[in-house]
Amino acid sequence: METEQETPLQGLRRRDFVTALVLLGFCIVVFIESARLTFAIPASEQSLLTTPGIVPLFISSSLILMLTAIIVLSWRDGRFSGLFSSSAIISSLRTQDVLLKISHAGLLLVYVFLALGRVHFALATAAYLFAAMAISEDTKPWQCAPLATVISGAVYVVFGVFMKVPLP
Amino acid sequence: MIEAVLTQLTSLLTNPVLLAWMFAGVTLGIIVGAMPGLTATMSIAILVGLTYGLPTDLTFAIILSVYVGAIYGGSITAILLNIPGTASAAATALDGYPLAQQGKAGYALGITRLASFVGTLFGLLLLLAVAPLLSKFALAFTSVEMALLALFGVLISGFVASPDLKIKGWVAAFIGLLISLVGIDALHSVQRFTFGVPTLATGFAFVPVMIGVFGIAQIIDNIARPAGERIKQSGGIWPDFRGFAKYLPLSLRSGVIGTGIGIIPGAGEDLGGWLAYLSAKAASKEKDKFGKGSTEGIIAAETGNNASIGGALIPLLTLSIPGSAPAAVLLGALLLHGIRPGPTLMIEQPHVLPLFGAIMLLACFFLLIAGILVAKLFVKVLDTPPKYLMPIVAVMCVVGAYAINIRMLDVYVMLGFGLAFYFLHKQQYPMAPLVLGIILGPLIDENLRRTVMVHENLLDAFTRPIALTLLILIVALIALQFPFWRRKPAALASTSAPPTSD
Repeated sequence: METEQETPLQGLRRRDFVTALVLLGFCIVVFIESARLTFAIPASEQSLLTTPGIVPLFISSSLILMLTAIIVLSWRDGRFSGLFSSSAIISSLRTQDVLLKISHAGLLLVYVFLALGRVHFALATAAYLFAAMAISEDTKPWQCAPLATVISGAVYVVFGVFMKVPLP
Repeated sequence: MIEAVLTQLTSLLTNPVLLAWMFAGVTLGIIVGAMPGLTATMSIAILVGLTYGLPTDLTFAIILSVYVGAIYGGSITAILLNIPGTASAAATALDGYPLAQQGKAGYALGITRLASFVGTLFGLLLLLAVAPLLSKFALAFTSVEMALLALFGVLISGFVASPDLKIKGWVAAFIGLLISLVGIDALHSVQRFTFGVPTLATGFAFVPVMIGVFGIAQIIDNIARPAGERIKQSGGIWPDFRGFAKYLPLSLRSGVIGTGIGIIPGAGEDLGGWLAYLSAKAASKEKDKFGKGSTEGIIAAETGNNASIGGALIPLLTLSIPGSAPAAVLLGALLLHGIRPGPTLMIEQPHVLPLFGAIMLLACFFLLIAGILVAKLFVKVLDTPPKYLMPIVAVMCVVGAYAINIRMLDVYVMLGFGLAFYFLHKQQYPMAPLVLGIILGPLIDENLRRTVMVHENLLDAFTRPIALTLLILIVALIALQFPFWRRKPAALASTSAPPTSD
């Protein structure tokens, strides 16, 4: 039996469903905390409407309503066959484009959390730039190394030395 | 007002260092706008951090020059690569690229430069004419009107900015509102959503969040994109002044549309460009030429999007409600430099509007000069592959986020928000309403609660004429959302997803 191919919009709605579910989780936490800030804190002499939790309570409840609407709508319009199957998830992650983006995000995390503040800014930046440039397809490391060094040095001199911008 | 602008202009013209920075700013803006993946908002967000230590007039001279340059710069790639450098140049690509294919790339670039010049100038004139009047009118606003106006701004921004479901725009805006409420409540000094983390007590710093949302998300999105195939720029560097003159009425009409759209919170330069383009097409005697290389098309689109700059600054300076995403980031810069935009700006800091006017006027002329002098040179930058460019932009983001408060926490916040909002960006959640939500959140929160504190009878507050009008507009806007629920999924037959907003 021939299966109909998924349209981009169906794919978008499928991912909308997952995104809205995650956001809904956050909103429920915010809603509970807002309710605490509204009702658990002694109300001012005027009314509950002046408590610090009232506006977030209104916002989080509106968000819960809107996200529920998106969940229902995306369930109606999306395609969900194999949504949570491990093979579908792995195959979607194994495309060149996605792998490259994940690698770059990872490099940025390493640069910010592990290198900056521990290693000299110019050194950490040169290492990051080299890795980020070299990681892409069809780039030659011997081209990236001088480029990364020169750019890192230029950023350090222009911002750190001439413009006196504080550097991490 | 004219006298004040001239005084500021004289002061700027006698400062060669500032002029050199402005020229560099316009040139940088053009390059940034031309590079697909780098946006005006992103560059302004990074610059807010990098220029933090500079004097106020120099800071805004650089930022506004980059803003003006970047909105025009998007048209270069739209014409030469058929890839709009910024979303605001999307309409320009429709006719600009066919013109380039016909061997008229130089002509198209020159005409769009003139159209951008006229558009920016027109927006500026309306800014200088309308802002003082709107300020006087806004002085009658009390806390209830301010809260409702800000809420209306957030809602309309979500409504117009969403490329997919309108409700996604509101979700983005409301998430922004929640982010803005993290920290100590200004009225009761109670910690909100800090969950026991002391560093969250001061809330999230605005600029690192902006840099993350507009910078990091764009970097990740564009890193794998191949460099575009550019059409060789042919023809002279001088724009066709005589050819442009006969399109002046069209340009002025597009300027009115662009400025009008710019005033709407969150609508931005892209909508200004599109509506001016569609209006020109509807009114044209040569409708069949549109999409095949119409000069009217590129003039309308470019005048419209550049005129939106002045339009976006009108509500920003008079009501503290930005008209576009770059204007929203500009608001962050104003606050950092101790300038509080709003109805009282003209009374407390009357030099700000004339200063902005003088800077924009000079930036307009620098746009023409930079275009002529370095046009052929800087289009070569377009050949830089994103794999080299994006990591450099990432380093700029880090430096910009750190420079504001000189603390690594802001860099972590920038990266965290950037990575998190990359996913929302890919899911067609617009970022402009999110930014507006972050900026206007405290305004809505404090003013709504202050209204309750001040008025014994809430009905009195909400039935004041302006408040009631705003309330009706808000209800109408919400009511407009309901048809989406009943819509049949006919669009599912379509093979393409809605366009990605930037």
